[in-house]
Amino acid sequence: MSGSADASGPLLLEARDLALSYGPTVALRGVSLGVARGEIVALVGPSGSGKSSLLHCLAGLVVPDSGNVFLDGTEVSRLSDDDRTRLRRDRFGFVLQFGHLVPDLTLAENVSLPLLLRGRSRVRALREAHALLDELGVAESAARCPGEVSGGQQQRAAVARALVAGPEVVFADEPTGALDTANGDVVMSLLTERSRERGITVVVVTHDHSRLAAVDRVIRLVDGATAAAA
Amino acid sequence: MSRGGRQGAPPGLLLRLAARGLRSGARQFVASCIIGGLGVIVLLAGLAVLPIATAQRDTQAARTPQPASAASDSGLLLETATSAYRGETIRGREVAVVGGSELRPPGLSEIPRPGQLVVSPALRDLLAVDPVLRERIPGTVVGVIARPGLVGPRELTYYAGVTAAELSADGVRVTTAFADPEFTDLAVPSEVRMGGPFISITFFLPVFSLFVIVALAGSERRDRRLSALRLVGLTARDVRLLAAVEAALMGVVAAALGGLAFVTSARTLAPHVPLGPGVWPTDVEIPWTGIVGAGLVLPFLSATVVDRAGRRARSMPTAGHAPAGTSLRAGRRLAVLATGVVLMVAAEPTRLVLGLDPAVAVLGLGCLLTMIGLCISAGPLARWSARAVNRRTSAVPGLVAAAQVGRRPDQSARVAIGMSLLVFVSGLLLSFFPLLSSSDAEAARDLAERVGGRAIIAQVSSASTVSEIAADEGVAAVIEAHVTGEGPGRSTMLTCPGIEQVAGDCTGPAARAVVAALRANQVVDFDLAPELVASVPLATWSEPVSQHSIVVLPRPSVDVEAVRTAVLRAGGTGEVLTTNERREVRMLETKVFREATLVALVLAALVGLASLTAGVLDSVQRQRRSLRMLHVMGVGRRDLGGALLRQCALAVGPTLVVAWVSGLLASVVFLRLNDTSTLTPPSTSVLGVLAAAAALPLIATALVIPRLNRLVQLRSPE
Repeated sequence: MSGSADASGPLLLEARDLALSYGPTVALRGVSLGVARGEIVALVGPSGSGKSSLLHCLAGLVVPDSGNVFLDGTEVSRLSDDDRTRLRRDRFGFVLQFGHLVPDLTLAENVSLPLLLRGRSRVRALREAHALLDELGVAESAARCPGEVSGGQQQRAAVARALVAGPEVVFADEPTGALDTANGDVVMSLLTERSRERGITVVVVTHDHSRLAAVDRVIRLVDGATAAAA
Repeated sequence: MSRGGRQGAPPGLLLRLAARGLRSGARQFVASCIIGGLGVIVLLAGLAVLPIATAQRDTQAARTPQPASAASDSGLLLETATSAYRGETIRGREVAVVGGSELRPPGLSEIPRPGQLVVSPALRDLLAVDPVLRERIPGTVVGVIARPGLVGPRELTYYAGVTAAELSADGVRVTTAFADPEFTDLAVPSEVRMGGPFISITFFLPVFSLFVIVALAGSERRDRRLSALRLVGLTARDVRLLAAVEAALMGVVAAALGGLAFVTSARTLAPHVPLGPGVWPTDVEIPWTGIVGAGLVLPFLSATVVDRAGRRARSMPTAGHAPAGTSLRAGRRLAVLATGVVLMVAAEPTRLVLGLDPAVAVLGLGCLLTMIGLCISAGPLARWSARAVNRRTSAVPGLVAAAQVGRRPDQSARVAIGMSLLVFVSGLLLSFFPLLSSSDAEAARDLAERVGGRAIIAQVSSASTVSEIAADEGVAAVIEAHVTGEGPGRSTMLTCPGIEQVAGDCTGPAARAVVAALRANQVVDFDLAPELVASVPLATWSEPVSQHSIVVLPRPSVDVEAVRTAVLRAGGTGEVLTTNERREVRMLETKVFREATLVALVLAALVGLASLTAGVLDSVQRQRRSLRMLHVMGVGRRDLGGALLRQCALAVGPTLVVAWVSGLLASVVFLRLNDTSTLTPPSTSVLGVLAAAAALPLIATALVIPRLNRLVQLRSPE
């Protein structure tokens, strides 16, 4: 586990000199970093340091005020909203702090969504979703809606949804932030282990240093800049 | 860039997601549909008023006797005697056949012989149970008036057979036909034509506002759902389509429900309409165009409203990282309001320069823009009031309220829209009242004030009839009003406003003498020389009539109905009504309009209360975490309730005041355009509406307090 902002292998994801402000609040000031294919990177730092903003820029959820984000050499930050949407659908997966599951779909249906969006048949998508939920230990809750299960189960389903379609990159924003230690451990290990098995790149934001053992590299942010530059 | 070529989500998936969304929000969906359907029913009822009024006028015209212009030896002799009984007007006609005529009034298959009656079904039922009325209208019922002769199913009317000699003695002319073309040409009263749509709008707008509030309730959950779908890869277009389909479906079902309810029940319920003589089912025309229009407009409006409300969720897949400083573009919104007000003010100068029609158009456009302006300016007005409060208050409830309204001004002010439209439209609606007060109804009111409400007015044709009436033990006095002439459709009694009207038309010393005499004699007992009357240049006056009016004053202790019976039995004809009833008959059309207006206002206020309560409830639900947190921090429930009330007041208050002022302005301009600038605008009445509208937040908050208490209960699980 290194503390550098630069990846050691060929870059899949690269940020160059990213700057972002929310009105008068500066979130990012000239952040640059690279993430290699298959690498698991953690973004850490105190509250308000710009971790989530950086993750959202990398994932194309937010367009930075200046600077560039490249995925496999394509500049994500210049893509249209529709193209960024396709990127999320076809190449990314997400695990956010509160799951962000669709409240009126069952866990299985939520997990099957990325497959359905890629044109998979409903039966097949649900079968694959059930299989993955089973693998992640929440098969018994597959037919329930998010509001009817615990936070830990919701997060496991979110992990399943992020992984089910075989994305190239999974972005995880405080995936264990709303969970107790035991559940947090399970979710984090599921996310990292399954990703590593499938060669998926992971960018995870966390403020919990006990979760860092499973990652390849830690990038520390302070006041909107990487620690070395801060 | 992408590995897949498809842009949007598969339609089947979108449909499944839409169906699931509707199923999970079933309660809200059903509530929206019912409320929207209610609005559609009101709209359709408003559209049906004009055809009903026209059909009733046609019936009245068709049964109006047309006396022969020259002497005729074949036809019917008819003399009207309108009376009232226990608040209901009874319209009677004495009838006799002349020369074996086959002429029949509409609805009659045979003419009753002397001593016989043909009555309306409603009167037949009343006569069967009421001996006092049987004494008043003696005779054997031999038939029932059919539909073509009746304005409504509850109309109380009869034809009483008498001998031709009796009516000839009264100077009655022979009727040779029925149907009055002039009457038909009068068509529908202008107040129905003008007021009907306003009444309909008065009620429809708050109902639609409530529909919008309920449709948008739970927006937090919807935003979460849409943003989650965006996150997994639905495009902004997909999500927009999804939300629009759900909302449009709501609108379609609401329109279908409302249309279906109206089509299936309007004709069944028509006879029971508690206004006037009721409505014949066949007079109710189903406004198919309105139903189709509602079916198109309501889905469009609901989809637009939901679409605008969901912009943030569409554009922000995480729905939590909205850039700060979202602009309300307050200037543009207020510009619409200001343009509306300026156009209203410009209506009067427009009349002076271009004439009345362009001026009415300018006023109409001004009103429309003002109403749109009120809808879209509610947010900025609420935000400014919140800022003002925020700067001045240090009390927790005020701060919490100002913060909440300031952060979500549009959402908070949504509840104000329906009521502000109500207050604005009421300004226009209530300005019809002073207009109507200047009509004959006002003259009749004057008469009632002069001779007392219990005095009975009737027509008599001979002095012996007067003597007979005066001899009745219940009669205190009989005042004769020797009338020298009467105008078509006008009262034979000249009252003060009538005198002024004559005065306005008179020139020359002789005419002035007539006016002076009329003024001196006021209402009754004037006996003028025919040559003086002839000098009054009133073209509408006909030749002197043989009948004259009497005013019968009952003794205070005697029942007025007994005296009326005596007058009728003695041969009193015409409108045998007390002065109060006479005033009510004169005001019948305006009364229906007034009652309908008041009913619409009260119902609209109730709907406004429902929409406020729904809005406050949604707001409480949305703020539950912060409210609970405040409670944890030591803010009491009373203070939390106070904060809710202040939120309501901040959101609603400023818009209501602007609506009140602009409604009054519309009223003043409207009255001026009608050449009635001397009339006072209904400022007090509109102020009353404003006060009622301002009280509604209090009631709505009180209704929501129990829910608030449950939500902040610390032991309850979240």
